[in-house]
Amino acid sequence: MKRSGLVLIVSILLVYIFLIGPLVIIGFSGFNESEFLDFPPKVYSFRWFFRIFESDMFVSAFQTSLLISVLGATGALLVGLPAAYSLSRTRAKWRRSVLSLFMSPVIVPGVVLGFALLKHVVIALDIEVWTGMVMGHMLIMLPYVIRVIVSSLSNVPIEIEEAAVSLGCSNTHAFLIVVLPNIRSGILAACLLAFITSLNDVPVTIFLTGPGVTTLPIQMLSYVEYYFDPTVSALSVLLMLLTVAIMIVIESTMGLSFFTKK
Amino acid sequence: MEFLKLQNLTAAYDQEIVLKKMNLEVKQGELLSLLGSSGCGKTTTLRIVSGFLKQREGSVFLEGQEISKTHPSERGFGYVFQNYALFPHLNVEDNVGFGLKQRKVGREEINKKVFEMLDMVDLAAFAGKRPLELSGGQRQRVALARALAISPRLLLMDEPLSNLDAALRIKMRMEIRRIQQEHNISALYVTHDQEECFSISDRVAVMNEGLIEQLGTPEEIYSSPATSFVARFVGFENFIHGILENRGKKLWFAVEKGGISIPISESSIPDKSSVVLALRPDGLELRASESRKKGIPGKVKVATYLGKGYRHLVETELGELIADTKDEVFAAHTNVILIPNSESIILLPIKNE
Repeated sequence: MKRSGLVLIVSILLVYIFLIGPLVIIGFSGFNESEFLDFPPKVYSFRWFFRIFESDMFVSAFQTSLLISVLGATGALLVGLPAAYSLSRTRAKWRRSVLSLFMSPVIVPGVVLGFALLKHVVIALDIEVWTGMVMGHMLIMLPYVIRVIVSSLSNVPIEIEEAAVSLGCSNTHAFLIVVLPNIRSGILAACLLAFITSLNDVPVTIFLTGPGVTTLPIQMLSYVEYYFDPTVSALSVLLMLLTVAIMIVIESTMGLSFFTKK
Repeated sequence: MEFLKLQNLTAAYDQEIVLKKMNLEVKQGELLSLLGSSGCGKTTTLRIVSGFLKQREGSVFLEGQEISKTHPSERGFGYVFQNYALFPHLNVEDNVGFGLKQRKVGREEINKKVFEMLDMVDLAAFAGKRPLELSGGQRQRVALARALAISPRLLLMDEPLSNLDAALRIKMRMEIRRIQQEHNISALYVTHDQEECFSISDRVAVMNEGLIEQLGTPEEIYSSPATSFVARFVGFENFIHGILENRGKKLWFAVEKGGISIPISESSIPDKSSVVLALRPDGLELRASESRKKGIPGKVKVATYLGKGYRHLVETELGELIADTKDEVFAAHTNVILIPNSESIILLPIKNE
């Protein structure tokens, strides 16, 4: 008993070291005064943080990223909300299979998805870079949007809509004034989670970039191919902070347990 | 003219038929209950009347008008759900006023009606509370007030009390009955609880496998059930198969096994027909076997205390019978005589399956 407890503690520690270790190293190296990435830094400074905002490269890539994520999230919501609603209300046998189908972009490796999108959609249909990029991001966000809204809808019994209808609402009106207010936090959480996923995505995005259209993670990737200064580390620190902030918002609106539930 | 009329209603989920050409009429101001165990089609009937479910065949008429094609939102029926289905994001006042708001009634008028309803269910002090802050019984009353606020032409209630504890159920059913009678509301009430159903209804339709087994006042159904299914539902525990025999002046119920005969006062069932004799546990008198009385001999298997008396499970030649006594108790393994009380006997035709 005691032995297995020890093994457990050691393995948990190892997992945490592997998970958090790189983040700690990156975090520290972002504050390095030196021209090169090294750890631990000898002198600390904020100079690389200022550097980020001096170069147009990162600022414009971040703007592109934001725009793509916002547009993609809007699209994913427009498709995902009706899909989630009908999936949660149907009693049909195919419900589970369709639900799994919508999860497939999570299961299919990003590289495969990105390559397939490039070859068979963007090139095949001669789609503009921007459009292809937004579509691709919409696709990677859709599973998160559907999953979260479906679980949020499971807390709104169908009788509530029927009650509204029996009191004189049309079906659409009942959805708008009775269902929607009760899944508001679910929708917010779904969008934020999708947003984070989209903002940090590399494997799908890398296939869809084109002249003048590049996202922040891709820009960072190409930056480290040529430079070895701590700018990217500093940028990573900022991105981590952004992600943490968004997660805090999600946690306070509906709780992270929502994403682990079926 | 009947107020609500269901004609030849047939309903099915996929291949499974749950309602078989059902006919039913509800009078103005009447509370009619659909009583039955789960899967008998009672909730299906209610959902068809409300419009949330489409029947496969048949029609629903309200005051002579066919309403089968009317959208549920335009039927103007109040619906009380088993899980109350209150709007969680609205407070009690807005929940009750919801239907009136949809009808574009003026603010002041809504306010007046809402508080009239809240007074009726004794919840005026809770107007600002959210449903989650209320107890089960309070939620139930809000649900009732909400359904009644639109002055519905018909009130539909689907097991409205089944989520409440026993004491509250009894209180609430009197409350519902009082409000229904005071406002002369026509209502359809679905329940599986026989006692609740009898205490609240003007008439009861006992349903089984998508058909109405018997329709009548609670008193009629309680004292003279028409089929063994209904009899079982209203507390008959003993069912004995036998033949009706006319031996001179008297009518006898004869059982093949053991040559047992039981005298019958009268019956409209023709002579020599196979029948089922049904008795409630209190219709069988228990005597010690030494008493030498004529009856069904048996041996007590187990005796349990009921509060108002004792219940005995007795092994006899006719199978296991259940008999109640007021204050005398016979221990297990005691030999006893069971004497049927001819007043309590009912005879039921054997159903041709």
